[in-house]
Amino acid sequence: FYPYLILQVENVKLLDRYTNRKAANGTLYLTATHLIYVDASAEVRKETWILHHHIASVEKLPLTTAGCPLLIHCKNFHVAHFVIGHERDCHEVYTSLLKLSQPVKAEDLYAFSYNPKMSKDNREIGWKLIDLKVDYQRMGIPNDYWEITDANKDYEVCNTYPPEIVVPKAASKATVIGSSRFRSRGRIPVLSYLYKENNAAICRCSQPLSGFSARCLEDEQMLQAIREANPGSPFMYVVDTRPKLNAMANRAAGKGYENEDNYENIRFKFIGIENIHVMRNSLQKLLEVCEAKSPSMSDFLTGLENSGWLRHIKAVMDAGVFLAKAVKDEKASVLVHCSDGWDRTAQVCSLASLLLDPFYRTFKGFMVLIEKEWIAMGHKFSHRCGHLDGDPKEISPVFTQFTECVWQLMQQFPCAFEFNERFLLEIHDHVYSCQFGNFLGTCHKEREDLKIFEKTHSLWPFLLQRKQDFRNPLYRGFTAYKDLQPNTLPFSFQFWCGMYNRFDKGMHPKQCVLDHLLNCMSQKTKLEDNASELENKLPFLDGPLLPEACSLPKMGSASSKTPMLNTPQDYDGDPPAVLTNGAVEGDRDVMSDTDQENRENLSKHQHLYDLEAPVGVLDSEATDGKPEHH
Amino acid sequence: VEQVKLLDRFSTSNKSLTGTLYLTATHLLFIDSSQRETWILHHHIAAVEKLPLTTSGCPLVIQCKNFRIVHFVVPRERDCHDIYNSLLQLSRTAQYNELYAFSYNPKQNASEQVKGWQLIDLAEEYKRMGVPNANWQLTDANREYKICETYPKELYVPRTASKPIIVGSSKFRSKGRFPVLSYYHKDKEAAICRCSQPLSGFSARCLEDEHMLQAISKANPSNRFMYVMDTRPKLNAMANRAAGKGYENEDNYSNIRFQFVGIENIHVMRSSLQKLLEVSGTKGLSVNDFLSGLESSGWLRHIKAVLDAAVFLVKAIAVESASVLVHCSDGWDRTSQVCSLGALLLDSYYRTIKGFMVLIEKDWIAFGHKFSDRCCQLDGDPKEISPVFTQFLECVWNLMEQFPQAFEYNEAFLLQIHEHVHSCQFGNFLGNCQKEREELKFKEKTYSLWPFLLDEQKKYQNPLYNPDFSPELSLLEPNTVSFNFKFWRNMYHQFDRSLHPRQSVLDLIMNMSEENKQLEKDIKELEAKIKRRSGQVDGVLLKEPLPPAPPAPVLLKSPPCFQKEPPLVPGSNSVRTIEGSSSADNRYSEFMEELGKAEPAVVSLEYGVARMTC
Repeated sequence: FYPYLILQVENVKLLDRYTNRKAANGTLYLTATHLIYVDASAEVRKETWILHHHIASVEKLPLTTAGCPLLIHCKNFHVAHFVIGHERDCHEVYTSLLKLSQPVKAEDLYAFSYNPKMSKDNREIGWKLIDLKVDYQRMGIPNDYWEITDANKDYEVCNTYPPEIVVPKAASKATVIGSSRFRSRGRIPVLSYLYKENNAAICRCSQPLSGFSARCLEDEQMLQAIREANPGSPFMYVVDTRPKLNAMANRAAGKGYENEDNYENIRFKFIGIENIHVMRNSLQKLLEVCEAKSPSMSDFLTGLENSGWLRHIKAVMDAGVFLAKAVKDEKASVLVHCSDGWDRTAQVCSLASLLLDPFYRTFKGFMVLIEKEWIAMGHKFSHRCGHLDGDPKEISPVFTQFTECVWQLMQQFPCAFEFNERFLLEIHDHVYSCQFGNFLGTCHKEREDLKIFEKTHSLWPFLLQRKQDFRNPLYRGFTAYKDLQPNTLPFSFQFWCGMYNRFDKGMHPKQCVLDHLLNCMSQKTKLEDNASELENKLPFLDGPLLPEACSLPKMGSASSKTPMLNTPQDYDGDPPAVLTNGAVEGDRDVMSDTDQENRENLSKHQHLYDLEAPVGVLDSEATDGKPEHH
Repeated sequence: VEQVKLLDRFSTSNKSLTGTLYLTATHLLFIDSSQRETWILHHHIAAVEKLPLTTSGCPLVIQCKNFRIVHFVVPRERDCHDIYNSLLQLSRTAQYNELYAFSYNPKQNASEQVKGWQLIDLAEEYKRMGVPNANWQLTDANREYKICETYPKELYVPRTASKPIIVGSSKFRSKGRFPVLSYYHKDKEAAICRCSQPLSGFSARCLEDEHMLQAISKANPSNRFMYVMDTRPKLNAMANRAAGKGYENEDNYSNIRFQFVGIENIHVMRSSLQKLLEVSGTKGLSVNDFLSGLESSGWLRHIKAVLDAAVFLVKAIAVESASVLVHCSDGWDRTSQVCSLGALLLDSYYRTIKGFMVLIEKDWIAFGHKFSDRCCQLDGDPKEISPVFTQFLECVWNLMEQFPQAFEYNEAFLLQIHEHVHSCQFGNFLGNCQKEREELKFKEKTYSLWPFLLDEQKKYQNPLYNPDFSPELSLLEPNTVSFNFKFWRNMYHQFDRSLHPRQSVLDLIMNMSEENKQLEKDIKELEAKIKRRSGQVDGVLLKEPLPPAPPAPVLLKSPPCFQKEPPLVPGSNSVRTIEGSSSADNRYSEFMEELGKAEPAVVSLEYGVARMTC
């Protein structure tokens, strides 16, 4: 019945945390990739699917009269509470899940067996969808001050950096090599984002190996080169995102932080974001609060406070805001690091870019941002997300925090993002799902060694395919807002129910505004479509003598589009030359005013156009082929 | 007074605006150097405080009842003292006829004024609910306010409750507030009734009161049992027995189920709000301080308690078809909160702009919520002040957050009403009860707020409102887990502009639906045009090289089709495949087949992750 079934257990109950409905009986299946629970009682058939890779922990609770309870916690904050009739069955499920949820070898990950029936070419196109070089070009690099160097071609400088890095032109190879010897794990200062308007840059690196007094001339030259690459400012900031105490403690281990006396014209600053262990514990406490069955108001607020979670979110946000302000208002370059420069540094740099540049608030831009600051620069996804059986102390919700910061920004700026909350959740799911290659491994080198680009698929084209689900109906377009200046008072941070209690359906608002708005928008596109079609009929009837009849009041540009929702037959065989009365561009795949505006603005830069190609291919495949979910 | 500085409450950089401060008979007015005006109504001022002299001048902090806090620095101490004294005098009024409402002149003529007052007609409202009917009738027992001074004249009681029963029962109830009808649920034939606590002490009984309750339960043919809800904490109710008051003894009343729901009294609520404001007003507040302050203020706990009580009430009516009698001590604070919220959950009419006005007129104004005392309209006992009505509005706001499409009005409407409850600009909320309002001839001397709100109703419309979203939603079933309660920033920081989200969504959504309407209209026009023209130039049309599909019928069909079209969001389809309401609806077998064919360990994107759980 299930061909790749590993285990099938009858008489299993799934308890619901928030409703007091009697738990129904059902069947639990284990396949090679998923746990599937089918609730077959009554006339409502309900299924719950849990990907093995999503399972964070499995727990057997003490036997009760009803059976043996099995509690499964997922990395996407789904909590499933099963009660299995026989203890033996329960034990079997338990041990199987333990094995299945923690593969030992990277080759056992889902991505290597996942087969979306896509041709080899399309897979390659998919991987090329995001090209970081294009993003550097967009920032204006290479220019007089910055260049893309292949100094790290064979990972000689730093094995956790990508082969191509951006450094000041003034920094010689010797400076680069010298500086890399003075930085933890060779993670030298490289460019993360260049604010084109005033040449101020955000750079990132790891902590210096300064101990109590060590110096490195090349490293000092490196920082000088970065500062001088921004002639508009006499100084630069060096931001250590760690709490001062942590940084000082590191000195005893021969690491530490920059001594202001040794580096010329730097302003050194600590921004106390806590380390991965504090964050892991904080999330643990937050989840305990979320899982309480019906906490009193006081329990909830006290728990939220004790977890410290929102305090940490605010700290990350504050740091991002500091960076953005330094770059935009003070026109000063900033060098950011933490310890190894792959956790807090990634959070802060990507957040600042998001605040400064509206491009990163588009679909494509957000993908670029994640590829650039997180994937390419070696955020250790595999360790932080516990993809493989490994050290539990390496697991930490660093990327989750970044996602949450973006969500908090969306709450304050509901019209500034092209995508909606679901897009964030989807990405968050796939960071843990191991279904796509993007987030596997810990750095670019490892991904190459694993042959990720040949053996797995990239997530991004699949997301773009479902753009309609993920778009923000309130988005005002690329040009509407430039930099964002969020408020970081405590009132501005909310508990993100949609993330941490996402699977507790009973807890969500009973009416979904997002769905309503999305419907509203697609209705609008349809109406516009219809109106423009009608408009096209008019010239036939009016004849060429009555041109004014084809312009509608108030319609203006709105009518000038033939959206993708057109049923193709309507235009089949149409001679467009007759139909288009100047305003209609029949084959442009335009979705809304803002979208069009957005594209036009971006057309100077290449990237949105190269986006069209693979998506088009995928689209056609999806429609030709099977229903997309099989 | 010139050269006055207005400080920004939350900015860390000590930014300030310099300008001139004026005091008029009704308002304090501050005009800054860029000619921006800040108006503060004297009636809105809750407290004026002179802080210790600083080098830059004499600081003056004004706290308003609408939660505005302004911080002035007056250069000279004598000026500051003058302002301080004047404000103290101006903000405290001793008599009703000195209130703003008596001098406010919106340039309406007398007939407009009368019409304004007639806008809300409670007799009409009871008719809408379906009373009088076979079981309920209008009684004239309180015609001259003889039985109960704080009730309105028109009261609805069970038909079987004779005058002696009414009179007897009223003597056994605190302040004579005997059980009367507040809301009648036509479909369930169940009623929400309200009263004050019985004068039962430790053992007293009253036959007429017992008859009264029996009459109420008998007036409901679908369920003989009725609930008696005491909205107070049990301890408070028990303490009242020592003073000869208390609660119903289940043994003495037949067919009642007695229930405490534990909402705290006005004094607890007052100090809770005080704490909340202290926390939210702190400069440089950390996240932890905010959360622990929010917790220790207890404010959200109280909001949840009120909403929980309303949910209990609604369940009794909607699920058990049982009538409910609600009381607290005097039956004008917690009882008003619970009865009005219950009605709001049960009846979608109260979720319209007009309906909400009716609800406030009925359960708050007519039934004698002591607005004057609770909002401190006149100089009086500060212990009588309490944010009871504010809590009601906050509960409504919480419901709006959970049901964004169920309300015709938006948050701004609630804020505006809150504003005018304290402004004393209109007659509606003046005084403590109808009798007082009649004696002072408010209807002749002042104006009603409602027509003014209706005039600007565009501002208060919720663009997401969808009255026929789902008929089952006529009953709202809110979720009251604590995660769902949020700090209401737009109420408590309404005037701190820097704290608001930087982008207002409402206008945008409003435009969106307007655009759609406009498009629909345009299409209709175009169609009409085409119809007309195609008659004239039929010949031309035939000659043109048109596609084989005839355009006209397709086009004419389309507009009415829009509503029926399935949503274009593909996601909804894939959800349905997993979780169908009937076995015919879901494509389980189809997908099982697919799974059977699939390669090992292959499950596609949608099933694998995105739609993993339903």
